[in-house]
Amino acid sequence: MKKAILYLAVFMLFAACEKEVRFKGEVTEPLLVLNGFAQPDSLLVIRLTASRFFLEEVDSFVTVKDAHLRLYVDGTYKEDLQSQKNGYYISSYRPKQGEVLSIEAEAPGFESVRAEALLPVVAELLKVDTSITLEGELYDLSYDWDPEVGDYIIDTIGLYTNYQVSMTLSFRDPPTPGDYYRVVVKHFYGKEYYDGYYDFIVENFYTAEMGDLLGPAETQNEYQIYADELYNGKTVDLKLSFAAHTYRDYQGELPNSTTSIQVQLQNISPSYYLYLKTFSEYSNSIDFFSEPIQVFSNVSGGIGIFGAYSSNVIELKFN
Amino acid sequence: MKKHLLCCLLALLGFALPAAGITISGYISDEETGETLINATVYDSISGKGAVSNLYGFYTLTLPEGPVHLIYSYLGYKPQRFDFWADSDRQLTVRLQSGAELEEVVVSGRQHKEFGVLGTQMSAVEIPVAQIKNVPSLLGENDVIKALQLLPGVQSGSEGSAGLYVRGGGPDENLLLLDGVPVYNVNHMFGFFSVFNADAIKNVTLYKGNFPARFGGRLSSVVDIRMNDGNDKSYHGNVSVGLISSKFNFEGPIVREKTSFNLSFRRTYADLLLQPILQATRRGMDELDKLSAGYYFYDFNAKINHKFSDRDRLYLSFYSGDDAIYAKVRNKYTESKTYKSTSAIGLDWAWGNLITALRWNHIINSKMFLNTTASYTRYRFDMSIGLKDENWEYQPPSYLATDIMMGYRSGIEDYTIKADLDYTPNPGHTVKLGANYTYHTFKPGVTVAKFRMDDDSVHQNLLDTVFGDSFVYAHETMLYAEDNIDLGRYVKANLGLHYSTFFVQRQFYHSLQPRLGLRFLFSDNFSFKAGYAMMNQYIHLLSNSDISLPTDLWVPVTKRITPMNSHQVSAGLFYNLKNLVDLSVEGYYKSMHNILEYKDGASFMGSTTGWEDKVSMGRGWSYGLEFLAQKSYGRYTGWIGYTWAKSERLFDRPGQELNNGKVFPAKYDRRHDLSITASYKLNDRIDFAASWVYSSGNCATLALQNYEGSPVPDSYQYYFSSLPYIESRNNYRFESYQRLDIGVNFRKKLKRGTRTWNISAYNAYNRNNPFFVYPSHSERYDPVSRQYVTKRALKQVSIFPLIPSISYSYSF
Repeated sequence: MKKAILYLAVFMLFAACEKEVRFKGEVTEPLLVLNGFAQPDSLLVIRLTASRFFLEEVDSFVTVKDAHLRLYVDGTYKEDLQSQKNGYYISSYRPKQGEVLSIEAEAPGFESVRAEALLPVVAELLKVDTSITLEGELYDLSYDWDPEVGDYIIDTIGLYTNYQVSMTLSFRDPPTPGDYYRVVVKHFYGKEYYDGYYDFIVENFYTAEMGDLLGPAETQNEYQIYADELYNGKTVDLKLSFAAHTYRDYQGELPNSTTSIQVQLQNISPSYYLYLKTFSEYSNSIDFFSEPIQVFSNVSGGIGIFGAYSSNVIELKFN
Repeated sequence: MKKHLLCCLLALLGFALPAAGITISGYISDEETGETLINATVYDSISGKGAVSNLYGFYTLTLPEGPVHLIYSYLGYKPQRFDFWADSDRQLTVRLQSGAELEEVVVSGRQHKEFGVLGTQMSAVEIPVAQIKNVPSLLGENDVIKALQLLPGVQSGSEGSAGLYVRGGGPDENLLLLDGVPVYNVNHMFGFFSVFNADAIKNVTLYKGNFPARFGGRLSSVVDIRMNDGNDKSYHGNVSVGLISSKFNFEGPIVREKTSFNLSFRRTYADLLLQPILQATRRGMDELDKLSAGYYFYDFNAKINHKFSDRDRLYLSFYSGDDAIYAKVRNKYTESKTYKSTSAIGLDWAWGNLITALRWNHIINSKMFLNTTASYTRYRFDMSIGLKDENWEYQPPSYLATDIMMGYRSGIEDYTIKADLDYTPNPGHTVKLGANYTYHTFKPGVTVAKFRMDDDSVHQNLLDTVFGDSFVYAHETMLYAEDNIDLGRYVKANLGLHYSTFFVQRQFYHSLQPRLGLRFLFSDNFSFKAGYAMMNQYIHLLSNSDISLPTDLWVPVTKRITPMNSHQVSAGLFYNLKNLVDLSVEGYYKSMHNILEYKDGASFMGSTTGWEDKVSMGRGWSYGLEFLAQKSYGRYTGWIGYTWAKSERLFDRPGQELNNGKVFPAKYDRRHDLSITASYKLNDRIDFAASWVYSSGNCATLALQNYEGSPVPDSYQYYFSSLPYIESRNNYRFESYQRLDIGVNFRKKLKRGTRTWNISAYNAYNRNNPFFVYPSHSERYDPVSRQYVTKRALKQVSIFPLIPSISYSYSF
């Protein structure tokens, strides 16, 4: 009996902790999800999907193919977007900078949704100063096993040439508050071989807050987005630096054509800025105790992001 | 408006003319211990006039010349009667005998208790310390704050936490005073225990609204805790051993009936018990030369008081309490006789309060009582991590050592002087005036980093730096006037004004706060009360929203973050049943302005850097109805409290929107809270206690829909992600919270004292109360497909199951 009481006590003590509970709240209906980004002089592509209840046993999201999407420009109806595959809808109209674009979408079984975005006018670029420093060369070696020799054979298959690029972009921020920017550095091998994006440092546009032992430096500005709160109406010298390289392929598999780097200073719509900011915070959130992050949505009646951006493009070519 | 209020107050003060007659004044104290009794009653049955002793046990009563029949009474004490012919002012210090053995004590005449039917004060509760000690508690640790959480209008926050959420307010909106000095961090062990050791405490009063003008600086509540003065007649003590801590209390006279002391000490000892286990672990690891680690907290309370004369008393109070985490590991590595190395890692965290107050009570004359206090309070958090490496080579001889240390310090420190004057021109009229000046030093996080390298010939300090935010100094002043006056037999008013200023970093804020309390008496045991109070708060606690961490940090208002303020109106009915049970029903409405909430995803982890950007300013409101039935003395004691309440927030200022600028429920908005606390004394040897709590579930933010996130143009985030969609903040309510705690005391008189065994159980029916919930997956075996099937599920985590505890104490 004593043993039974002891076992019972131990069981009771550790019976708690974690258990599955029945959801007792309201089971909410799926919402229409509208996503798309507008660029000047490009066709507008919108994707429609349906959200799902968080306990629903489905992994993928259902695309919405039978919707009716209307495009308005500066408040005037322009056209209906044409349905494509996989829930995509496309315009025939190519929007222009400064236009206010609105999308209205209706689909059976969903509440109709609406989203709006201002396609920003690019900032006036006043000057671009670039300095490129050769940092060194590095051979690309391959190690192939030679069964005849019984050892690895080292072969030189290419040559990396490394550079350090410093660039100052001078531009004028418009006097209106609420201008948002994004900086992107893209790297290309020729035209076909797309390589990706460079990490880069912006020296003076944004001052990272100094952390301390308990509060390390703020999360990286993952998408390099900036608000003009500190610079409103001023001429801004944006200094950025990054390491770049070219690659010479000795085996002829990659064309030894020009390596090019595109630096883009994008003006982004406020909603796009808030989406990137909250999306980045959500992706990097590790603090269990903080309030959950609500990723920004500007789709009324539904969820999603309808953003817009215009780009100043500076291209650097390396032979 | 403010001018009018001031005029009214001055006009009322004009009535404060001394009434003709004789004045009887003095102290009321305990016969056995000499402890002064707060809120004891003196009543003249001939004139029907009475008075109540103040916080220091002092009373004054002006009566017409002639015969008097004075009855001195205090709940749980035998009343004392004095009949004499009063023909001149006289000092009469009375010692009442504890009537613990009495079944019920019936006090004749009107009870002039400040919080009862007759007083103007409402929204306040006084809990006898004996009752607090009887409430069964987590791991047997008596806890003042946990007992307060059982009162209506007070919510506890998350499971087990010592946080107070009073009438919809936040945890940093409570002014916790220990002998009149603010305590900035009231938590031990991340909030599971409070710093107040019940053995050292004489009296606890909670104010939830209708704040008297003498209090200010916080929006939601004042918890006034007074420490024991010490027995001035004989030596007594108490030793107790519990599951997690041991306590020791010793008091007695230094000079009999003139000077006395009271000392209390409490310390946990899990770390001491852990050491042998660690040493056993170490023995199995050759390279481990030294290993020690642990966690403990302690509290030390001390008080000395000296009576210079019947007119002058001096008190010195002291409190020190710390939590500490430590770890020391040293490795030793030797390779034959050619090489030796050692490495050591040390970690030291310590955080806690230090409080001291020097108080001088002076009776200016039979109608005027002056209390002057100089005090110091500080909370500090210190953390250091060190790493030291030493390497010796013998052939050829060489030596290399590296020493790295990083430390972090933060805290707050206050120096305060204040004076409080009580003036009682006649029994129906009391005036309180006071002034207070506090010099605050806010110490935001400072990091110290050192890196030193030594070899045979060179000693290098490679790094020796301090960085972080600089100290912030602030000056806070406070003036108040309070007039408690009878306006005829049925109406009594407490009118007050509280004026405060705060000067910090070239910012000057000030606030004039009117206070009003009215009582309408229907009969001697039935009254209606109504009150209004405006409160202002100049400091904020940067804290994690759910649990108390040592890194929580007080910061002052700034240019951007302006002071919080609240307006609260309350009204209620009060009934006293045969001087045994106090019944009350109160309703309140409170609006709060400039309150702070963390933005989505933001939290505070010790760094003040950029804190203003992490918070939003907004407003909130709460309203509710509270019912309390309290029986404080007799064989059965306890209370039943029920609250119906609602608390909401709105953050809609441009750029500071939370929840898309829409109204959302406050974090601890709970519709129903019911608590029943009871103790029953079977006989001198056995008594039982139990408390049962039922409340609506807490709110949490839960994403009820998931949706497809768009790939980000021009980035590596080219895939469609699954994102949670949160419709609104705090949109999901947990299951209800229930808990039954039970306890029993077995007492036995021994030759030189009394021993007590306490056996208690926390969460007696092992209810799995929700601590948090989260979306997850569950796996089940499907006998048809003979496979494990995974499905989405909502999981709930509970932290405190049934926890039995036992403790032993011996008092002499």
